[in-house]
Amino acid sequence: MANKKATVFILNCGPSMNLIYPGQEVSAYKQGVDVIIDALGEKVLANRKTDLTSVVLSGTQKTDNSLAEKTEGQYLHITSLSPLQQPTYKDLQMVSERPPTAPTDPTADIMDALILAIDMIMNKCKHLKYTKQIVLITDAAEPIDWRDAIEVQEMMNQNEISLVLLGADFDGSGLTKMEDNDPELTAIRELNQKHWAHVVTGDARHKLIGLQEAYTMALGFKVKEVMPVASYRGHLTFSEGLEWNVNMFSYTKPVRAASLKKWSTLPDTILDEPETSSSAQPVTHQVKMVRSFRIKPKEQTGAQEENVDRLDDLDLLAEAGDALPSVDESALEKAYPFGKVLVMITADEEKLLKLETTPSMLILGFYTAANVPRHFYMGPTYLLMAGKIDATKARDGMAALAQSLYEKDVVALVRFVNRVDASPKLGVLSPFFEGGVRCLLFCQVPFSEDYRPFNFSSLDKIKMKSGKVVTENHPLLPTQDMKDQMNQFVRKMDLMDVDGEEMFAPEDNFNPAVWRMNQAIMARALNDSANLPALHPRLQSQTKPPSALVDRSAALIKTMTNTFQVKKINTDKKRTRYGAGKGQEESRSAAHLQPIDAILVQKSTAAATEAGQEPAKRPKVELLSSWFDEEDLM
Amino acid sequence: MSNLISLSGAQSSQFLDEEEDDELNVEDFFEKPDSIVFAIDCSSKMLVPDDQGNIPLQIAFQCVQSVLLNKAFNNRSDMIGVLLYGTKQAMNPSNYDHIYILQTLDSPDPGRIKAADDLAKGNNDRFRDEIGSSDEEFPLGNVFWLCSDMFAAAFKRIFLITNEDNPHKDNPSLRGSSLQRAKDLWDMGMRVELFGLDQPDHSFDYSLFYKEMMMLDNENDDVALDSRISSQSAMTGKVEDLLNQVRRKQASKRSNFSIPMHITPELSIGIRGYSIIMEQGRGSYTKVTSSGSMLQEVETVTSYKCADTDQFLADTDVKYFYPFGGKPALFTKDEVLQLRRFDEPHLRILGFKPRSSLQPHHNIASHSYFIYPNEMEYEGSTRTFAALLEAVKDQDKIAIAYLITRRTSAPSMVALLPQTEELGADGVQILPPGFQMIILPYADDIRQVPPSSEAEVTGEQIDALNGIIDDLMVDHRYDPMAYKNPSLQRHYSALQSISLDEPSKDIVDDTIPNQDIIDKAIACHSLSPFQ
Repeated sequence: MANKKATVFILNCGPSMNLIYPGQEVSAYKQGVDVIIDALGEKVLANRKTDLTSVVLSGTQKTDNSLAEKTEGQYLHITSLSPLQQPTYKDLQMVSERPPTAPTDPTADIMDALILAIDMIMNKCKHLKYTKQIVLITDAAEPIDWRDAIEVQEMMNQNEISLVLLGADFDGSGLTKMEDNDPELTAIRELNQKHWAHVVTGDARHKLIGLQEAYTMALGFKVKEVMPVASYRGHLTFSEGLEWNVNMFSYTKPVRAASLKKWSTLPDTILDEPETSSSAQPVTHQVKMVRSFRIKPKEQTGAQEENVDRLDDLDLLAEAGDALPSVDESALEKAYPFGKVLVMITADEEKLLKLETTPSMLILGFYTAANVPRHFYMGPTYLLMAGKIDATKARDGMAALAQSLYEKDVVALVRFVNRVDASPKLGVLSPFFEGGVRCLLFCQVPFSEDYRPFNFSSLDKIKMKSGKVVTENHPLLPTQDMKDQMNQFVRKMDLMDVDGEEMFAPEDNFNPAVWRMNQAIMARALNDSANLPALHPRLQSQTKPPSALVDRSAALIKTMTNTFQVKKINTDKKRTRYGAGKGQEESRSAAHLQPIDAILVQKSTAAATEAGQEPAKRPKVELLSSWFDEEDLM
Repeated sequence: MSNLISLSGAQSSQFLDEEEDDELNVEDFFEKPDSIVFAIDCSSKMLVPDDQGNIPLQIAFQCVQSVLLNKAFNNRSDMIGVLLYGTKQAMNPSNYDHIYILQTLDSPDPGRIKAADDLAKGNNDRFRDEIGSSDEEFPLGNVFWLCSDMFAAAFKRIFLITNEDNPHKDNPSLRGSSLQRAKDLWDMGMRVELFGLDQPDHSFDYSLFYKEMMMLDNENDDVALDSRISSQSAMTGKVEDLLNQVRRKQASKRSNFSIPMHITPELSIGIRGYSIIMEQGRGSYTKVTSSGSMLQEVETVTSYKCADTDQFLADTDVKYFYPFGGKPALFTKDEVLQLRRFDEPHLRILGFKPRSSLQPHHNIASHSYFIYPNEMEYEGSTRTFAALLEAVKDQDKIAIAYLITRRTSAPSMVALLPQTEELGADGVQILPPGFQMIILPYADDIRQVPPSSEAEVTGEQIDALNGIIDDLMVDHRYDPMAYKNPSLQRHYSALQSISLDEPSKDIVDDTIPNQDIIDKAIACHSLSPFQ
């Protein structure tokens, strides 16, 4: 499953890399450094043991590399910062803290660095299955010994090493764009670029990308690639005669912010005493979780409602709990709640509770897409693609089904079990097309137990007490002015054409929680006193409507404020009404609830007194609140 | 040291949760117990079968059994009571005639479910011998009085099942007092859900008595009626529909969040979010220990120790770190909270897009939310919301918005789909008016499409599939009510039989395809294009 990777970054540190190219703000060298930091940072965060890297600097004062050790006088001024290994924060620090090259620094032959990189990869990977890649960041301003080029090329091809050349000021075809007065330098550049172009086109695996482009990408937001792993391998079945072998892959899946672990600060304070701090035991700061079991205090047991109002008594409960006997883990048994009672279940009985199922995806029928309302879609989505058995038949069959569903605007309802004895799910399959791929998209839909169809009052008409139905001239109904202005507003705030571009497509929105946490982690790892990063401007822009739209709607927005006349209600008042509800209710109930005979007496004189008994008119707020619904107790 | 142990035990909740779920947490909102008292008319009219042969009273007991079962698994702390009226025998604390409290208000247990089950199955010995039916007149107000007496919990509802639409029609005094009693109930925060049933030759007529009972506000005549009445429109009067209608009402309508919605930078209204869809799981088991015949619930106490010093830790002794390539990136608890916090809870409209821009794969959260105006925070919310809903709907658009539901929850980008109210032919509300809110995936959440070679599809294949699809088309909206979750059914049924010590029953799996129909449909079309 694990996709092993070996990547060597080669950064040309020669003096020519200090050049700031036209239109750029920083030197090519700095751009190279940032590209490497971005790539390494991502790998360090992901913490994959099988993702190995090394950074080779070409053009260093000193020489420190494995080939130079073996062959004296060669591979000079090349430094490998580490062997090929899982990167650590140190690699990042070394790259980020290395000062730019001085003009007096020696230059190295970048071809030597490339040979070194190949050698490092082959030494480590041997013939094991690795994705092998060299990322080479250079300009073409220094003389290169091209005599070995063909050999180097063959070594890469044979060993399936891909070369990504990030060329400073290369254009797409590998030719220089720079206007140079120095004919000698121009000649070197042209020669080098021609050769590089030849190397890169020598194998489909290789790529030439402009360094500036790579730099912009490194600074920006991008989606991490995730290895597709099938979550279901089985069949999609109409009937015995018509089924296809399929693999199912996650297509949307929530990426969560990096989760942090607990760190004990006790060693810093307690172990500060001289004799302990000198002891050989290294301090780990680790936190151990200690689990114990005890009889649940009575107040919290079972189906009583009491714990709701008992937040204030929490300490008391905890104290009482300590007095309760603890229970040994081996004495624990399972019980399932069944209303008021707990039903103890033995291991044998537990089997009875589970439905036995076999993995399958069975088609139940078809619905027009509109007949499965979009809000029924539950959870992440999955792609169904052809599996390995009869792959061509499966691929073509499913593509035909996708095509057919698309043409008819229909979805399939399926029953899906992803592994042995898993609970069956119901889901819909919709057609999914991307590039040349035609396949199916799965998304779960609800069972009856998952569905609670509440009723809500109409919003376009009001039933009056008299039984009359009104559709206008009521504070709860919009006027024609309101409708017109809102219509205009919806038209003006069109996100499909904001300076010619669609805004806020899901594919362009990034998760602020994930990105800010990652940024903070990297900053803190490299600098203990780093401040928490501010929200990136791009993420900030996701929180508000585009200013272009707001600006052009400014007058309308003003008018709407006056037309709709929405007033915030003083919430303190509300609190009184609800917070005090319980006590009030009780006193009210006592006062109100007289035995039925008393009411009968009362009622016999009702005609005379009724008007007088009416409570004073309630303020409007309360009227509306009682007008609304019963769930307002939260 | 010893008090440190208790301290850390008590404070363990103050440690930050490592695996805090970003999904909107709805648990809190469902902890407030609901309570329902079934008030069931047992007079002889309720024993007359309808033209389908359904006996209303028996169906009413089925409703009780179904709600008891549902609550037993889904809302253990909810309480149910059953009061029968129009009975021959009486059993109630006030010794009123013709009222029989079958089950006091309490959480369901296996015994009660079995009792309701027996009555529902028409094992009527108990009913005949102990309860009986009576047509003598007695004050209906007593029913309400006893109902109110039974309640204790926060949410109080009375499910009134009857086919008498005009009680006390010849006794204005009793009629008046019953109405008064019903008003008292309303004032005390109790809500009546009326399930009025037709009689074979007579449709239930709300206007005779119950309309007045449900219109309880003493305000002037121009006051709008609330959803008390509109919910009555969800009734069909058919005995066979009763079970479904009771099921639809069994979950009390509680919102998940109540936040402001910013429509323009200057115009904000109040809204509420509801989970109309939410996956119902089997529920996790509880740890218990048995000593003799006594079962005792066990709780897990989690505390933390410093590995270096072996001391218990208070939350002030702890920082949080991420191992970044051999170097811990350290944060204080406050800093972590700061990193998790983005803004005050709100929903902000960012703009509008064509409805077609929302793709099927733009789905990520475990379910959608329903958004409805909340007049209680901002006066004018309803009209403003209604205008927005109509405008978005008329232009066949959706709204894109930025959502934070709680102070500590991560922001989401959402799509708001307008939904206009839809009533069935019988006046039952099928879809309520409001926005359906879909949480959108971020770019981070969207994976790459695995590589695949291009398929070769023939016209014959498409034709064959088109034919099969036509034959297997379901021509109505997908109805979740048609499919019970077989795993849950199995769990419920097995647990019930174990607890009552009965043999286990097989369950019906609604989700197994009707293979006969499918095979027949497929047999009509040549499969050769797929060989």
